[in-house]
Amino acid sequence: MIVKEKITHLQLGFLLFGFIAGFESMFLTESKLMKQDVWIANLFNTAAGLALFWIISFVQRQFPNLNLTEICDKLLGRWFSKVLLCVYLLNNLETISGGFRAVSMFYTTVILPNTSSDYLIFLYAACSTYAVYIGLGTLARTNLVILPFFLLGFLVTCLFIIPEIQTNPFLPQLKSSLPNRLVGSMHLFTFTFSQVITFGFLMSRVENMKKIFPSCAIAILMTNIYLIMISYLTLSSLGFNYVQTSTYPFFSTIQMVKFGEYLERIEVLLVGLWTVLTLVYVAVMQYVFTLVAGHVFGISKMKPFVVAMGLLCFVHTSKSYIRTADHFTYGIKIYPLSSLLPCIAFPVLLLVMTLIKRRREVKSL
Amino acid sequence: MESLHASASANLQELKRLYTGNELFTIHNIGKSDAYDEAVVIYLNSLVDEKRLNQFIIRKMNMDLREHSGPAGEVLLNSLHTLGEVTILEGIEEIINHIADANFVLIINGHVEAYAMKLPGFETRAIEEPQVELNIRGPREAFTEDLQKNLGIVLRRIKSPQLKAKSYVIGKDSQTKVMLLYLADRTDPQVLNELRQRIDAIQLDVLSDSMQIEEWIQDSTFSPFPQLLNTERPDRVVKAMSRGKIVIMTDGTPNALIAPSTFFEMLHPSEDQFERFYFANFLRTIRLITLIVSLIGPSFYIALTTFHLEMIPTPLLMTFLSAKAGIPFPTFIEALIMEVAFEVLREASMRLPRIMGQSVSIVGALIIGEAAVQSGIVSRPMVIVVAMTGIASFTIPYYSTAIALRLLRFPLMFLTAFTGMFGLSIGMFIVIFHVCSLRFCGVLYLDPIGTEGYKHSIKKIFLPPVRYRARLKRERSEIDVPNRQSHYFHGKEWD
Amino acid sequence: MFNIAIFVGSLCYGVVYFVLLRKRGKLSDAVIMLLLCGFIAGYNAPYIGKRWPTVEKLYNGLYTPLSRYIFSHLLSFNK
Repeated sequence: MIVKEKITHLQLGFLLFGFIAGFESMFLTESKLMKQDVWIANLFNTAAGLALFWIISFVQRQFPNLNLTEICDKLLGRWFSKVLLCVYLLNNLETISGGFRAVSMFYTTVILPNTSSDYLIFLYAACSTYAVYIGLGTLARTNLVILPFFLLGFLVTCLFIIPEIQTNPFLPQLKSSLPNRLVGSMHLFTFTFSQVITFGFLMSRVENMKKIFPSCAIAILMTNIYLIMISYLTLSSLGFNYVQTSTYPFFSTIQMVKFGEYLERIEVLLVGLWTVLTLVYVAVMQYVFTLVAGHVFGISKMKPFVVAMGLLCFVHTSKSYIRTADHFTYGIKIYPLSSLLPCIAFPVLLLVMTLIKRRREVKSL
Repeated sequence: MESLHASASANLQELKRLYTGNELFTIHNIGKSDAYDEAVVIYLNSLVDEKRLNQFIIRKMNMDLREHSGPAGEVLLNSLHTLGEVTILEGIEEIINHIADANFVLIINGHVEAYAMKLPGFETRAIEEPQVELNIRGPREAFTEDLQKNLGIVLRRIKSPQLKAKSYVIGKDSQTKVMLLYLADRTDPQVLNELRQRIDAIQLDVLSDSMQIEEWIQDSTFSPFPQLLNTERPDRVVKAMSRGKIVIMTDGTPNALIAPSTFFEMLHPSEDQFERFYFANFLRTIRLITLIVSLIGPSFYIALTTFHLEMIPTPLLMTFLSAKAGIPFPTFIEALIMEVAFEVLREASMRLPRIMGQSVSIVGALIIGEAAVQSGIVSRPMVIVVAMTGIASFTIPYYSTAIALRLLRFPLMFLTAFTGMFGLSIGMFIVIFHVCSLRFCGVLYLDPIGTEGYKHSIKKIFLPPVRYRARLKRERSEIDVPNRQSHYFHGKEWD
Repeated sequence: MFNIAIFVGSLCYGVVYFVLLRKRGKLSDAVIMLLLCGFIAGYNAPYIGKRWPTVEKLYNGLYTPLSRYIFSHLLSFNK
């Protein structure tokens, strides 16, 4: 068995931040639904994300020498574990396809209307396949290089959006309906920290397992602070009505950034950084997809399968979510439900089985 | 290996057979007889200092033969021992190797061994100023093609007994000497062992330059980025060794290789050490900016003028549009024409004799730039963009890194031409990803990024004042030792 | 054109690696590779490509009744 490169707990934390912060920031669907009450969704998201991460890291710490797929086999039995991992693989493929399609849809809508989306998806998939082929360590290091630029760009943007603030985004509070709050919170959680299970499959690659939870907890908190900041900046600068009708509200917000009276419309630079961070997101998902698929199907020589899996992600995306409206509706109504089993029930089941196993071991002693 | 006969004539016959057709092979009889049966001295006459050999060595041996009694072989051997260090040779192959290495060999009748002494008489270049790595302040010595001279320059600068030197002979026909230099108390033993194994595995017929060693031992053959630094400056070599690097010096080339090298070391010339720290850091920042300009300058211009016109301020946009009016080619083709012309000009100016080179390149640039604009092939802003990109690439101190950036500019331009900022972002991701993936003997190419936190990384990339560097070095010694597996990795991701 | 290229490319990739993996004695890997590439080629195959299964279709079929019940009846959410 080959020894794979390990990453540090800090790199994992940064990867988690880049993973979430990059992708979700463009859409802000929860801001459209909840408006000034969006902090409720973020609070729920933080709590749920931390809880889910704690569950997965607890399970991993009980079996420090095994990776999560092997832990599943040990706790759930080989065949039931394969079934659940297959469900996870379907969810992973669904997410990857959604990510690819979201990026291509964004570009063909606002920046490159004359370019075929298949061509953009192909380029994206080729890049992420290359990233998966090279490995997790390099991906984590690349994320470390890119994040400071992203944060700098974001901070400068926020600074220059402040003069455009026209509405008080905080008042009146608690005016959104309960269904909107529920749906918005579920939506935000599904698109951000429900994918924490993906990081569970990477935990065995971290050098110091005890430090995983503290550094990733900080990453989760920082991500939510970032999401709250951009939500409220967007609401205050665009206004509630425009946010509701705009497809990409944060993009519309950064279009308003001006440097003096001379330099404007620099949103394309931030979009470039967002594209790269979304690429990190899909690369991580695809990497875990490849790892788990290799385990489920018992593949010993994984190298040739990396390209095949990349090709699968590309062709699956090119046939999925073709209509924009369908894609958005799917994201609100189907995706939160389809993620329940692999992203929430699965880790909880692992926790329960771990506790049962521990109790049995204590009793036998 | 064929061993020697006791008869000098027999050995000589064999050597004559091997050197048939080589008129440089010289045989000089010692003693009175013309039959070469007493003792002979053999050598290649353009390698050995014939004047000293005849005037001092052979003359002394003949005198000692006349004045001393006893077996001729013993007398000659004692005489030779008084003149310098003698190497005992036991076979024909050893004789051949030593003759090729500017030795003369004494073959004595009745002895099954031969005796060699080094007496180089070929001319070597004097120590001059560096040709490529120029600086305003600091030492002005550069290496030459003579390995012994180069080793002397280095040993004058490092007097510690921890300095170790291991020699190799590489090249079946060239038998080129290669030296590995390092400070034993600072070098990573894992890297050293790995490097030694790689050098042992080199199989070449002729080793003429350190580049062949570099290509042979590097991890990633197809990467455009150089993974070893080569330098002609002794001060750079000494500084590298003091930081735990290993130096490979090759006979016949003035370039020494430093391993393992990192990407940031290739952006920092040795001159930074000789300037005040704030100026050095200012220049380092400028170089980082020019690195980005050199890589994405034309691509960024193509993206803005083809896909993202809204980003350009309106007055500037009007200027660009009026300059572009009447140009039949899209911006990408303009950029391609100008970049290729610039590369051709750059290459041509390197091949021309120095007297003509500078004036031709200036005139060429003026004519090509001005004529191309006047004839409506390219626009003026494009000429400025390409010129600025070229100047930015000249600020990269290490030539091989600058070449890598020049090469990568073209695929980025292609990507950007079809997909604008999307293509540029993807291209930059691939470049950064590739640089992050590179290692040499397990050590990261992008060190310290990825091995240490941001704070330590900034401390390593930028220079503190001299008095704090010693303190930093002591602190760093605790984290420099690669205990963590993430720091030093030698495996594969997928089976 | 692009679809045909992907179709042919994936089939060729599958066959080549099937042969290579069989030579290395990894029969199960070879079979999985062939099946996977066949499945991938199905997406771009003429006529059958449109009917080839995707996760979106599967989950739309599985979860639409549940989603309708939860969002329309329970939460009265219509967006």
